[in-house]
Amino acid sequence: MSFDPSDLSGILPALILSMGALLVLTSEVFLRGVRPKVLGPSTGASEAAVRSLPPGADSKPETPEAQPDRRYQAWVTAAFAAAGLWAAVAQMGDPAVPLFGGAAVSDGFGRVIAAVVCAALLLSSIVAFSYLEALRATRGEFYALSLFSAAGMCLLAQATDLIVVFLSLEVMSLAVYALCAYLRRGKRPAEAAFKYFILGSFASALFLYGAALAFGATGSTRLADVAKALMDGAAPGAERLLYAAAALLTAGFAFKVAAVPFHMWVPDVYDGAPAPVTGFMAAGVKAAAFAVLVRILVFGFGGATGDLIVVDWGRLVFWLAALTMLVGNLLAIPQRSVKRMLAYSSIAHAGYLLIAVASMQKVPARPDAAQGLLFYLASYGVTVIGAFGVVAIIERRLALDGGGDDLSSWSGLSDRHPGLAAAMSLFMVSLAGVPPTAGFMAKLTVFRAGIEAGLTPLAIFGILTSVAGLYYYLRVVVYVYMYPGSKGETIQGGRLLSAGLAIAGCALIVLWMGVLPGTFAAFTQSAAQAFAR
Amino acid sequence: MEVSWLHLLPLLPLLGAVTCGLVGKWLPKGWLYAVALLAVLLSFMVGLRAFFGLDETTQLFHQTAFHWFSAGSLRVDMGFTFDRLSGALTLVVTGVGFLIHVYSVGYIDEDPAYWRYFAYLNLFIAAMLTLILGDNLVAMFVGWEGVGLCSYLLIGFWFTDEQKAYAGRKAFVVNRIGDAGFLIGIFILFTQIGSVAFSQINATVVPLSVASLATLCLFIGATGKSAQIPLYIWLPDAMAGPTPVSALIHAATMVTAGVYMVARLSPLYVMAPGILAVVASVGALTALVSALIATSQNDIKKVLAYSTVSQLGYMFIGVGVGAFFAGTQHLITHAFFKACLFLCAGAVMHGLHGEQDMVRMGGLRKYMPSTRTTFLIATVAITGILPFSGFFSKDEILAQALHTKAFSFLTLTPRGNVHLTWLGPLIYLIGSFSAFLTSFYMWRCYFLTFSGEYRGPEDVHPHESPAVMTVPLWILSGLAVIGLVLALPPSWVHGSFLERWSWEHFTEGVFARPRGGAPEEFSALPGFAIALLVGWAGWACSYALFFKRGLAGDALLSEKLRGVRVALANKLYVDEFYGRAVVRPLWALAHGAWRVIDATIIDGLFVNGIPALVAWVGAMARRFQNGDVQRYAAVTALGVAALLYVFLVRGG
Amino acid sequence: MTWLESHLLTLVTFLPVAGAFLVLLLPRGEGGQHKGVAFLFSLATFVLSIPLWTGFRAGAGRYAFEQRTEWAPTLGFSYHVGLDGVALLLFLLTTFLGPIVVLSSWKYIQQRVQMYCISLLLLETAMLGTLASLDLVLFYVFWEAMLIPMYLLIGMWGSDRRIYAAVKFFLFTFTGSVLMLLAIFWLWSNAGRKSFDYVDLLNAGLPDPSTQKWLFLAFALAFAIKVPVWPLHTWLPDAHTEAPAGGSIILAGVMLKMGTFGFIRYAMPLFPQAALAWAPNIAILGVIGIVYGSLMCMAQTDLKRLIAYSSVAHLGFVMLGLSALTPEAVSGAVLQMVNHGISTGALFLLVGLLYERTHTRDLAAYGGLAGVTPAIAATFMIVMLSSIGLPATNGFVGEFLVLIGTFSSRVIAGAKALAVVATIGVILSAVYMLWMYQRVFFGPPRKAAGHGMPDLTVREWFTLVPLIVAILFLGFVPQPFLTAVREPVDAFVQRVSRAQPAVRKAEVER
Repeated sequence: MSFDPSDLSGILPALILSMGALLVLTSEVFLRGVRPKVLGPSTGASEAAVRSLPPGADSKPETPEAQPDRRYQAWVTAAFAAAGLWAAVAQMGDPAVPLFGGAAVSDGFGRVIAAVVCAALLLSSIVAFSYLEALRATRGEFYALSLFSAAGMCLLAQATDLIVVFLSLEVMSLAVYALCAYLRRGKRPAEAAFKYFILGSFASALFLYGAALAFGATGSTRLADVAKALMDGAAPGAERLLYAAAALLTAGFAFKVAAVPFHMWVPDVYDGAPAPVTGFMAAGVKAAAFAVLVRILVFGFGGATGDLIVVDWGRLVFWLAALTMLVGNLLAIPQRSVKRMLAYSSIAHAGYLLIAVASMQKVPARPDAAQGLLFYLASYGVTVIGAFGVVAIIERRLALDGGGDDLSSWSGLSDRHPGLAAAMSLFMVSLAGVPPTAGFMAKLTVFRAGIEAGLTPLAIFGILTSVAGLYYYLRVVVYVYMYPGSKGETIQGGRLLSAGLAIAGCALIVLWMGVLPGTFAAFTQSAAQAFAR
Repeated sequence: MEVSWLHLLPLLPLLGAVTCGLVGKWLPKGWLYAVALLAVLLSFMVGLRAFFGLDETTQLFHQTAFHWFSAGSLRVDMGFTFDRLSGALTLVVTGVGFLIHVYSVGYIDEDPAYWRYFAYLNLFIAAMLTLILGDNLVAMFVGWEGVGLCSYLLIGFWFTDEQKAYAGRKAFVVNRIGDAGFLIGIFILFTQIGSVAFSQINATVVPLSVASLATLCLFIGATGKSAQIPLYIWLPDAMAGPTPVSALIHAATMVTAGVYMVARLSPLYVMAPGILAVVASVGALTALVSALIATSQNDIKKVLAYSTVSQLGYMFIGVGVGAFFAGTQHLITHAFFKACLFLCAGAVMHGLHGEQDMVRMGGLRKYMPSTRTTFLIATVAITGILPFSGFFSKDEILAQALHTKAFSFLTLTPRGNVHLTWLGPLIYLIGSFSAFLTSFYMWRCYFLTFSGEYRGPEDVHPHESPAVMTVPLWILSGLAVIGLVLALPPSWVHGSFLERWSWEHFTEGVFARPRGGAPEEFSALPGFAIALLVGWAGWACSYALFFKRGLAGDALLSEKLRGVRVALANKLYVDEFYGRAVVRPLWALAHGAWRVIDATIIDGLFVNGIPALVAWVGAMARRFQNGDVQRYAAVTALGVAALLYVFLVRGG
Repeated sequence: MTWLESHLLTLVTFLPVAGAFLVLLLPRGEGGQHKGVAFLFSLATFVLSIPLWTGFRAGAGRYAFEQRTEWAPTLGFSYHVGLDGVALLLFLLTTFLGPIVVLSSWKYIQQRVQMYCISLLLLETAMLGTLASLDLVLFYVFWEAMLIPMYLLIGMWGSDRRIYAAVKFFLFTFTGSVLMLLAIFWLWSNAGRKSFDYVDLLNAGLPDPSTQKWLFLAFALAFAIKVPVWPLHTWLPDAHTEAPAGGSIILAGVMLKMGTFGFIRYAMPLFPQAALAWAPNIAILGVIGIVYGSLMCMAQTDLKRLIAYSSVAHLGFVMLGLSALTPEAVSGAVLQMVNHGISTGALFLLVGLLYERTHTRDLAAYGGLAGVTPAIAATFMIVMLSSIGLPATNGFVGEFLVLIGTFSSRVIAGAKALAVVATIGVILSAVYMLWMYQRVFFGPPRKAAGHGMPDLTVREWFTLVPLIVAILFLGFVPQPFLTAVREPVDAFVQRVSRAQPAVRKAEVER
């Protein structure tokens, strides 16, 4: 397997992101403690922020003196993310090319995922900026880590070799673990990161074992070879190995996409991690993980030219999807913390995405399903980042006095911050899949694919669970708009600006995708050609 | 003959109503009266012009005012037909209506809402004319419901009194029940004939079953509007309205609409002899029962109300036995003398500051002479002790009932051989006995009101009403007398100039003949003799009882047959019966259904129950998510095991 | 076809959105400016929609003011709008009620005026779009977009139990429509054309009867909840009772009609055989609605609740007419949609006026208002009469056509019996309406009537007079409207009642 430099252009987005990461890291060296000029009229608040550190936070308060000004990092990150996005979009039309002798591929599918990841990073880094600023938690590494994880995600989406998959998986995961723990205040972040790490490595181990079995069966870790082996019948006995491999690989990524019963970590981690990170995870990790899942199942075990595999993994995903939608929606209903609610909702949405995956098992429906999957990932990503952006702004204040968020803290938001209220309601409506929002169009693409693939029972079941979903999303709107404001005080204006921009951006995209989905649909459709073969 | 001015008849009063209703409040009184009265007078003029336009060559005027609506095969026009029947009634409605308008000027003058009153009154005239002139069932139904509305509005005219408002509501709802029957009748006819126009319906031969069903449904409508058993209960209560209204709507015109409708559809009704028998029997029964009740009422207006119900019964006997001309001619004569009676009663009340109870009247003849005289004339006319209009028209009906052949081929059971030939004579007997009762209670009413000594409270000083009220009384009483020319037996007036005034001769060819054919010639004299006897008998009884004794007469009567009197005084408890049997159960059903079906089953069990269940399950399942990482790992491991099982055991 | 002619429909549909944007840009004061802008735009919408009536030309099977442009070809749906007679009537009804609603809320809405006006305008566009769209996805988008503003209207400006009512409303209707969405997808993938276009789907081959049944039920459920058909009606009284007057007017005036419109436009023509097979059941449900709704009215002590239940009864007539499948009944049903919009809208308007003055909806508190506020009493009387279907008001023609058409229907079994029962329902309507009227306006003045209650103001006259004029006009001159709907109605009747033999076969199979 020879190295061809031109292959590098195939992984351009990942490269750009890693560059960015390195740049940010090295820049740390030249930093000296400078007193940051406090933005906005919020001196009082920031002092309060410093004073009101909850017990269990590191005793040494980060005094302004010790604080170098790292705001530039946010902008650098954003810039590189934008560049990555540009790269991904620019390559969108190009034909699919295998890279590094088949270890990876640069196709529309991967590019769309890369675009989604970069967009997610772009938006969430801006949100994170104002969030961290407000918490005065501006130590280094944050942005570097997020860039690294993003790079890992992009690679994941392109990998066609189980080894590459594993490598990029770890690149992504380790960075994300760290990000979860980034906010050292309180024990919830640490606990969350710890759980995530333990269970995550468990999943990675499963995956690795599966990869090993696959290698044992076929003598190769290339998905193509796996598929080939399946098609013209692998060595006797090897098939069982392959099936086991399929099971373990599926399990590994079912964990990452938070499919029931591999979902247990999600609520605690989403709840514990800083809101912007949660948003980034929900959008990016999910996208990348689904990409891999699809590649393994379809390219590896689907038999890219037909369903030659004896095990109908479609059925399996069918049941995974049903279970995931049911549990996710059911458990989201009693939640009183918006963050936890969103966590369960992300499980539920994983279920809807699994409908698309399940329909991909049927050859005719495959392009539609792929399109649906990608469109859904994009719309869900932008919506959830926006939602967590709002959560971040609400949570900043609560994080200062160490509490988690509760619905009651949302009541009357519309009086204090009509903009935020409107945006949050929009995101909720979009998550519920009510037009005219991105969420509806996503639902349309996925469920239509499901019907097309003849998975009508699953579709009916799913659509009914989405009604339960509407209930808890609406509850947020109820608190935001219909309950009188409990606490009169408003959030300090100054730092809202950047986050507000990001959120407004999300809102606009959500509306845009909902009203004029054509452009996005065009991208996803071209990407779906990868499956039309 | 197609003309272009018939629409003026209903239009003028309608305009009057609109004017009075919209700007009447601000118009000077005089102008308002002018508008209201002129509207009616003008349409009376138009009516006269049209009426004298009719002759041998032009049997009717017709105008299609406008095409109302049409869908599918149904086409409904607003068309008017002015023939001898509808023409005559138009004159009665506008003529009597005008007199009552005049009378009302005196009667309602003090009331601040006089403008509303006249708006309603004009509106009523318009609706009534639409009812009469409409050339198809739907147009008639428009008037049919329109008059019902006006009656509702006028009964509840003094709305601050719950009782009056309730009476109005009762009238409307009971009428609505009849109207539902009317509607169904229309549906049946349309489904069968494909048209709702009288010209079509009366020209088409329909099977017996359809004819019977349709006519029965329509007759249910008639029982509502014309206060026949079982739907007569609203009329006595309707007396809550101003007395001129009772005279116009609840005596002279509206309540006779049912009779008119049956007469209008005579060709259809004769196709359903069975239903004719029903009509006649219902009429006879109503005549009897209400006459009985009337004998024991003390409220002068109640007496007149029940008398109206009873007289309407006679009219239905007339149309029921197939003598449509007899029924309709009694309709006209009755309009004269009953309107007169009511207006007199109104004058009495006006003179006694609203007193209605005859217990506190008496001896009024010296205080209000012209009221007394006109009342006397009208009483004579209705009781038939002297051959005034009522005498002839009523006896025509009874004679027709006695000699009718309409039922001679009917049997009770499909294959029975007992023919209903006895029905006519039976009805005759009932009718005659009711005639006796009529004479009795009317004279009782007269004696208690005008003879003897004044029994009212001291502070009330009875006085005669102003001329604006008494003049209409005189005119109407005059009509009550002259009306007899309508009803004279044709044999009497044959060849004389009166012939063209004889109603039977006048309406030659308007009505259909019953299937049994017309009764063969019979001499009217014996019938008249009996009728005179009956009338005088009634007079004698009540003279003996009440002329000298006054109220003591009632007491005497009550001793003799106490139970009967109490029952009659309480209107035979019919209202109570309906209340227990229909009204209360209905409301109970409503409340029950709401509590049980709506609130408990649908909402409680399903709409709120299912979400509650889901939420509960969610809360239970949530317990499992306890943050314990070992448990998480265990679940994950289980998941892996399940996957392996599926792939290895199931798959391989 | 000129540019204007081909874009007029779109302009009218989206004009309110422009208004909403303008309101959004205005300073966030509580002044009258928001209402002013909202009023102007809704008025302009109405004025612009008049050419739709005057220039309406629709032939067999084609739609007036049709416009078809790419929307999202990669997702398989297009922006395709047009009007047939039925849609046109409801379209005009909507634009007609728009300004009235704004005016009627002028005094009552004092908090979050900006938000209120925006919701109203967006809602109007959503409703207009629902009526105009000829592409199923487009239709569905508008259909569900209606929910959100209405949800806010009920939940933000409603009375005590507003949140329960709002959520109930949203969940109820949403539950119904999601299954319809799946049915739409099924059509897309199985009707052969891979198209969401209504006309294509109409001309595509019919699914086999058994599948048709399920698709029809999926559509019917969505629409039946919106109508609402018994026993899916319980969201309605709550929504109406809690919603502010403006919301109730829209809800009763237009939104309920979307359900019946869905039946006549989508559910029944798309699946004629199933529709024909189910028509008797729907008719029975309609009749149950008539009688049951009237009974419910008799049991209410809350003014708005009573009128809300009366809607159940009135729309029962519409459902009965639609399922009777005779030209008379169906055109009557269509007319009845409009009538109900006007008269019940007016009723809610009047109740709103009373509530503004007395701050109570409890019937027991009312009484003797006829003496205190004669003008309100008079207008209320006229509206009430139209609602109980008295001749010479609009209510009569519709009801009469429905009943006579049903009675003479040979398509569905037991039509005569149904018509008779429905006719008896007409009696009940008089019972409860007059009872309510007497409680409120007659008798001695009770406590609500106290402290010199003001009669109609000029603004209120402006809201009421158009409605009353419409009531009388439709009562005397209904023919133009019946003529406008004749063509689509005949097509509908033909399509559905012709589907007979296939169903017979289906029954044999079953």
